[in-house]
Amino acid sequence: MATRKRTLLKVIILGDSGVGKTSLMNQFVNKKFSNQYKATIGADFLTKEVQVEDRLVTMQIWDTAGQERFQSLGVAFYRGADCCVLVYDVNLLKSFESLSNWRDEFLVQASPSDPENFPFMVLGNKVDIDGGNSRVVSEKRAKTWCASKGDIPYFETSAKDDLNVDVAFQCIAKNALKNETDEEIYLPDTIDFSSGSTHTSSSCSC
Amino acid sequence: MASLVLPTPPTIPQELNRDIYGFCVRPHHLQLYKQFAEIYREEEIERSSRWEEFLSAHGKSLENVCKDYGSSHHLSEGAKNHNGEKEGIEGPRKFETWCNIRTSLQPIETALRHFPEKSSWNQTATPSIASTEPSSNTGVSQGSEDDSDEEFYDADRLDIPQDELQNLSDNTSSVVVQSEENSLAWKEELYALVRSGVPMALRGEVWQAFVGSGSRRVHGHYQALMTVNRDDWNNDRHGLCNPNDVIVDQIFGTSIPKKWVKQIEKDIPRTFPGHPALDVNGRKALLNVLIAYARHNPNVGYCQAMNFFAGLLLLMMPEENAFWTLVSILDDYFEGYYTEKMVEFQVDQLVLEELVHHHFPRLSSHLDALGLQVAWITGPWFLSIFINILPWESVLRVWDVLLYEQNRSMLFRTALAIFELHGSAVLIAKDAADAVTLLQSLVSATFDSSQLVLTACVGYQSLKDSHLQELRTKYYPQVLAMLPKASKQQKPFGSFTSSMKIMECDHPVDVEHQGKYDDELINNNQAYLSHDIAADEVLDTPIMLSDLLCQVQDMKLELSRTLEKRRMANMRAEELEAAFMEVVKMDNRRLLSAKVETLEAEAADLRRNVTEKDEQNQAMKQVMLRMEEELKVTQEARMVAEEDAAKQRTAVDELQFKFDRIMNSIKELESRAVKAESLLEASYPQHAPKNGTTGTKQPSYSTGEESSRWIWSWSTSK
Repeated sequence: MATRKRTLLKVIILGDSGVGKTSLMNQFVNKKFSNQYKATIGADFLTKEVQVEDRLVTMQIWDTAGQERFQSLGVAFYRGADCCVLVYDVNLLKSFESLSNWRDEFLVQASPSDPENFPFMVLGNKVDIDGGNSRVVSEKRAKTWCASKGDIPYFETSAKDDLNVDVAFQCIAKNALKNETDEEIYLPDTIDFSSGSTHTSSSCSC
Repeated sequence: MASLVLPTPPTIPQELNRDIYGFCVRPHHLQLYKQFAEIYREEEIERSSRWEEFLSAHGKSLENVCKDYGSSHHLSEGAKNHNGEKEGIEGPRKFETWCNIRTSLQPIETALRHFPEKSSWNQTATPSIASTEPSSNTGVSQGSEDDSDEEFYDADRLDIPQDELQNLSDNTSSVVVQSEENSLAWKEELYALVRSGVPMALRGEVWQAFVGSGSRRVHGHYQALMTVNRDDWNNDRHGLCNPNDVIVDQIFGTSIPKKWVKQIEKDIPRTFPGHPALDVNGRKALLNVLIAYARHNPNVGYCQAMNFFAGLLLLMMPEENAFWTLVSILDDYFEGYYTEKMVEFQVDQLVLEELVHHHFPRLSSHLDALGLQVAWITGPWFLSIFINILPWESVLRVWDVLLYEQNRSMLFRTALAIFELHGSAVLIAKDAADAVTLLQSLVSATFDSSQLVLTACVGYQSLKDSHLQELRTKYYPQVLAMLPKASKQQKPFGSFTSSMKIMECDHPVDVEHQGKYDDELINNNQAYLSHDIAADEVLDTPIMLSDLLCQVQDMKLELSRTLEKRRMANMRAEELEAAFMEVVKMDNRRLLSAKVETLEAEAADLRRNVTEKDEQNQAMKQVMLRMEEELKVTQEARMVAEEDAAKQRTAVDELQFKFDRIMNSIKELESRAVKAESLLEASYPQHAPKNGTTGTKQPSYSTGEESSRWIWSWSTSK
């Protein structure tokens, strides 16, 4: 590459309607939470600059509508994503059960070059509600699922209390960036360095 | 009871972060909004007076309007029917479920309803409002709507047996055709008015007139849907329904998946959160309307964005009016848009992409280069009909025109206008993130609603619905090909007004079968209608009959149109399927050739540049050569000059040397001469007496003088 412009990371946020995708994005980007979000129609979009190690990268976050029927419209803009964030509501079992669907759907429509190692991220949101008494999906269960899908990093978040939001998005940026550089290394010489390195580092220590 | 057609426009609200409609203004737009609020107010005053003039000239006199409200003929319905006067942002009505629109607006509704080919006139309309003074009473069926005649008129009709209904409708349509020409000027004037905006106080009713919610309405239908709703709620509350259950509708035999209800419930608090009018009652009304629609048209059910539409409508009209208006908008204007597969929406996005490419080639290629598709940006625009995208004043102005035109071509024109206004700014964006963010912020700050609507309506006047239809047919195969193969389940064609979109049908029925089905449908509808009429005859006064006749007629028209559309669509689907592969190939080829063309053009450009550069280089080289030559020549000349100078210097030195020597020799000679003289002088006294003359000595002296002079002259001459 001749000139390296600023690094753009394309992040797609998926999950059932009402799990707090827009809230998470807004908490991360604008450091604000409101009970009064409007339903997202189609897709929304925000950007934020983040420092990852010594690099300044721009995260380009696509917030999607949760309703099932909008999925058919997502085909195009999933493509070229650097990371996919799957969000569920720890107080809603169905939203957790949908994660598989969302993941599969994403992989089908985005068709990344290396689906096995594509960086996902799972966020269990709304842990603040009722002091955690109304939650129906335990952390263990969520982590088990994440492990079964190729060690997807997992965070428990609260967009309302700004719990783990920054940490999670930092990790998202890091993984997305790593994936990008991995690919760059992988292209010129065919040493299986890259597969080894991704395997060991996929569990984000946080 | 209000005594004026139009109340004075409301003033700017006290609450700081809310606009005149009660919607939130984004904090960073407050300043801008304040600047425009004054303009909005002035525009509002102006348009109010213009509408008042228009309505009093072509509708009824003010007195009649007031009288109409007094004798609203739906009082008999049992609903607590207030007057239909609108109160700005007052919010959803709590008690009344239906209000008729003011009579002065009814001619508009009738006129728009009865000309399916209206696109021809509304597109050709010119902005001149000036003095088109049509003869009064040009409203199509104004006579029949006229209050003073109404009772007699209806009394006459009472005796008409059911089987003459057909006759009647035929008569009416011939009347309609005759008056069509008369009303042309009237409509042009109206269109101009609509483009400059509908006054706030009238908007709710005018919109209803545009979409024809009154003629769509079937008495008791909404209430019936509501009754079922209530049962659902009870079941819900007691947890009798599984989330995946399907609630069976006992009345219409339709079913509603539970997921829609869940989704609606989720979206209620997310519809204009914090709007003062959406209090407990307002939200309940919103829920009612959305559930009723899902039940009414199970082909569509519920799709996010409808909550915004219903919410907006509820701010302007009573609940049942909002329901029927929503039905009209979704089923007439946006058929196939919000269904599970959203075929029409996807087709529209492709059409828009082509239009953007055509009108803004530079922007289009810039977005391409950034890896952005137009649809990613414009998708939400279309789906939400610009709600939450543009500032509210602009949204409402766009809706005014859109609803008036009876089709959704205004969506396209508005989108193109936005690109025209803000596209150049996007061109400077360096990457996708910049471009989208920039466009988002510019669009959300498009407070100049008049400029936007004007740009859309005048700048893209030529963009007609018929043209869009042509473009759409081109993209159906592409969209259909992208659809997932096996759809989950086919929604039943439950309600009789349901929009039947063949594109949504997975198993197209063959034409014969279709025909049978259609006939059945007609019979069913007639049965239903006659039942309805009979029931109403018993219950209500004769006044009801005229309404019912109108409805029968409208519904027949609509039904036949729908069936016709369906047949056409069936045929088209077959044709399309046959031609599908071909089209796709052609499309690919076309795309490729287009790409090749652009590439070729680019290559040619580059080549030209290269040759130009070469020429320049050549010229430069020549200049350089010439300069080099000149340099050489001057250098040579300098060398020569230097040599000359050196030679001269040596010659001068030599001469100096010689001169010195000669001077020396002169001095020597002189000294010798002096010596000789002294010798001579010394010897003179001795010789003089001998020679006796000084004359001999004299010449010797003079020769010495002479010789020295000669030497001098020689040295100088040299």
